[in-house]
Amino acid sequence: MSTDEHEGAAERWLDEALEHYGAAAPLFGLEARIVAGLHARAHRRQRRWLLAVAAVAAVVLALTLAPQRWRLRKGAGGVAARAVAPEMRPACPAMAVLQPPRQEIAPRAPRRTAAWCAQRKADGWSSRTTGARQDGVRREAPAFREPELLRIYLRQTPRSELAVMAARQQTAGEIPGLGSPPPKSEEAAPSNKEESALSSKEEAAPSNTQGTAPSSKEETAPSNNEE
Amino acid sequence: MYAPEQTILSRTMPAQSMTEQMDELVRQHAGFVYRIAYACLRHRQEAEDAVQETFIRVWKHVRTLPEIGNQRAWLARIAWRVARDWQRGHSRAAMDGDCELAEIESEKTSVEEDIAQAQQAALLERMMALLPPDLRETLQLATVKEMTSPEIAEVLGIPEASVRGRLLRARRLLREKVQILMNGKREHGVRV
Repeated sequence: MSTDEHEGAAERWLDEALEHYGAAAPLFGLEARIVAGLHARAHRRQRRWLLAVAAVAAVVLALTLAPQRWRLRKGAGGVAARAVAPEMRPACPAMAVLQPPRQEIAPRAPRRTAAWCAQRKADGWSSRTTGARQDGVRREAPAFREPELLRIYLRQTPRSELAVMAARQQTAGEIPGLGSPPPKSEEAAPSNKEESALSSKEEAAPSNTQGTAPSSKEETAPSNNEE
Repeated sequence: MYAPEQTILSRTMPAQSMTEQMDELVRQHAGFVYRIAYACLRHRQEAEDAVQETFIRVWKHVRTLPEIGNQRAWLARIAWRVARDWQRGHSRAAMDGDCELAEIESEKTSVEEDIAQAQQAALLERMMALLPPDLRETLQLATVKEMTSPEIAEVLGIPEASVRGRLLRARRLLREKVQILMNGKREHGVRV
């Protein structure tokens, strides 16, 4: 075979191969698939836009409402304790009547952190000696004040109650010094005179009880001088 | 080509009309775009994905569609770029020369002819893989039936004369390889 024939055969083979190389047909329904894909993508994009708009609206709403809530909280903590700002006061007097007065709330106590405790201790504070809670705790009175306190108690207590108590104690025999006859029903509110009479009776008949009651004399006969 | 009337039309185009225009564009040019993608990728599924991607990109610029003079060349350029990007991104052994039998056009009735065609395509792919990239790209685009030299020049961004020159050089190189192959097979007693 000559060179020309070889070249001719190679050329034919190449033409044929290139023709087949470029001959490619898509599978059936390519256009429909692409159109459907484009529409689906457009829908997805639209939905994403809607979600984004909703998210932005939510953020804007939150940003609008958050300062108001913050202001309310701050007002509950300390601002309300101060005077109401002029711009917050009602312009109309009628509105002032309609609006309920704002309750003043005490400011919050500082948080008791470790640093706070250290600072208080450095200032000489001790939890045993001071403190708001311990101020209200009643301490024991010294022993020498007991008769005086008892006298005050007896003076302040209604007479009828005292009589009832004395009767009970006499019956039980627990405190013999305080023995006194049970009061009659008419002695609902004895006066000072009656009181003195009663004390004199007690003085006159101490033998009802087992022992002497020198202290009861003091107690039951409160000195009018003190009054 | 710039057309002011068309620009005004495109800007005032309602969404429904845009969708219809896009559908029409897909129906007209989907096959053409597919062949370009297939010439580059040599894989059916990947070519189809590239077509989808091409039309998604076109959809983004659908408003400027009436302003474009040669829509076919514009589409071809987008499709070519998408296919090339796809090939770079997906490092499939596209040029390994193993042509799938399913991809052969089965117009022939004989199975032997189908197999011979598959072997021919595989051989050509191997030989084209050995060509320089610029010649290979030009030849790949030239194998698409609808592509003319001016369109190839527009797609590649080179003068038309360069396209012709590249095609000639590519064909000459391929012919030489085929001749060598034929001579070698004759020496071994194999009929090509």
